Amino acid sequence: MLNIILSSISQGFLWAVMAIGVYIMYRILDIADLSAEGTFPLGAVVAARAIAAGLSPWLAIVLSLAAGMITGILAGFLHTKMKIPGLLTGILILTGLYSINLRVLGAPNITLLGKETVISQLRTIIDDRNVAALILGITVTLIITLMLILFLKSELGLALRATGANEVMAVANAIATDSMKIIGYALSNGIIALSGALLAQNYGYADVGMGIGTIVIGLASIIIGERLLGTSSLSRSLLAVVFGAVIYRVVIDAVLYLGVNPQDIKLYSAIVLAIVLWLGHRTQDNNSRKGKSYVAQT
Amino acid sequence: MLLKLDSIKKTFCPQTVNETAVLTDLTFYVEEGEFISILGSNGTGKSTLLNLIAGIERPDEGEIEFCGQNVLKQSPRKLAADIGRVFQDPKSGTAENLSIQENLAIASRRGEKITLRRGVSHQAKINFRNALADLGLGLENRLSAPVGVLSGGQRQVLTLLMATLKKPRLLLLDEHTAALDPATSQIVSEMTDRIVKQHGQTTLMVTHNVDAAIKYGSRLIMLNRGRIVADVRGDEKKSLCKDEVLALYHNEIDWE
Repeated sequence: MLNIILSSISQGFLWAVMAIGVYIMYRILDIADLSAEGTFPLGAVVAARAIAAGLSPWLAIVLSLAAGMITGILAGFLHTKMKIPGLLTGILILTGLYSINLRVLGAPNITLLGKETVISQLRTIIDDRNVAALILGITVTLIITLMLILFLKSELGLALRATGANEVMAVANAIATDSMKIIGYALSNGIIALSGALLAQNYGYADVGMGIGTIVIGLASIIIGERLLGTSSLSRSLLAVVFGAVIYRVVIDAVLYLGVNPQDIKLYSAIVLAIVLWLGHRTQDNNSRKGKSYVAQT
Repeated sequence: MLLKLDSIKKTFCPQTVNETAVLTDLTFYVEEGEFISILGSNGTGKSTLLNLIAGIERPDEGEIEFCGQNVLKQSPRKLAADIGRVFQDPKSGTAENLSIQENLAIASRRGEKITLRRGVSHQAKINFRNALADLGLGLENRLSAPVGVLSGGQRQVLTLLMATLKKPRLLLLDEHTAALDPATSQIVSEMTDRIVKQHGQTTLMVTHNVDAAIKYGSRLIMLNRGRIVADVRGDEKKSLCKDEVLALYHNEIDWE
């Protein structure tokens, strides 16, 4: 039982990295980007393929990050320079990436059984598999959160946040809004791919279909976290996303533990998000607080 | 000559049932240091005029020259480096999720290269605190409060400070007191006048308030149906009274 909870929490931290990536697009830039559905498995397949080819698992993570960022730059270009609406940009990227992911992997899935991964390396010092994953998850999440907070408080970060918060104001203050959006896309998708690389190594396999539902997990993490911890400051908001990701993973694993068929799990995650969104809007209506609607965004 | 507008024409939705000629034939020049009130009722193309100068919209015909450069060949972003703007909607000029000091920091980097250095430096905080204290609204003690919690009037004053922080060549005020209650509107107008006079700031202030147009500014331009119907400056502007302005305005209406 303790092992299941530990495994659940450690996975939650690895998914939190992905949720932070989603947060950048949805909350900071205010763009409904679905690219995560393609860049998350991209990170996984790039890392798996690199490891299968005998490269260092750490180098594999760097390669995934780079692949995600390049995809993000491309998505940003489609959105800003080719004027494709955000929602459609995401759909184009995730559709195109499906074929690319298949090509990178060379098969619908590959296993990393017996290969050296960051988890197997950590296990040479830490005996317990789940503790190793937990330490990896917490460390990576902490580093990424801290670096992101520092970035978002830099001159460039302020310009990026202003672009998402109020584009009229950003242009009036001579901010290059298109460049800011492209940077946001690159950061977001790089971080999401990095999360894919970590989870592939944690699971010990990569599958082209593993991206389905990424956005649902990301949004659920953000909204659950914001409801529970609030958004009074930038650091608190990011902490809330991490917290939300862990809670969400524990809830989903609890549902599985209760004996739900694993193939129904995507259905349950969608239902959980629907309920969370509904509850969120109810409290917003009651408090008449300002909230962003995901439904109306394109 | 800081700004030249020559035979500007602008029509919205041309060749449709909604076709509206906003500016029909507009020509005027702005000298450095002038504070011009532009008066006109709704739909006379006042806001369009400011958007054309800022490069946000393009005229159908005509030339716009700012600081000797052709505005039509420049991006709104490049122009924004030399143009400060305050909008009618108090929400437009500031980013509400960002704090007061973060908004000011963005304005203080306007037109400069932005880097990965800390957005709000210690020195900048001191400068912002002093600048805000000058305004006397108590905002200097709330530097890290998100702008979203400020009132409309406070946000407009903050936007005004942001717009003038880098001493732009030109300040564009787009009915910036119209969305405020009369008392706040009065405060913001007085503050505007003070800041403009203090820096000798070249300013175009669009308004539909006759009293404000008479009270403030060194020159008054009246717009109707997309062209200038009156252009009063100097001593003539100083001695202008409301009846004269209204008479001018009504003459024009009757004339049409």
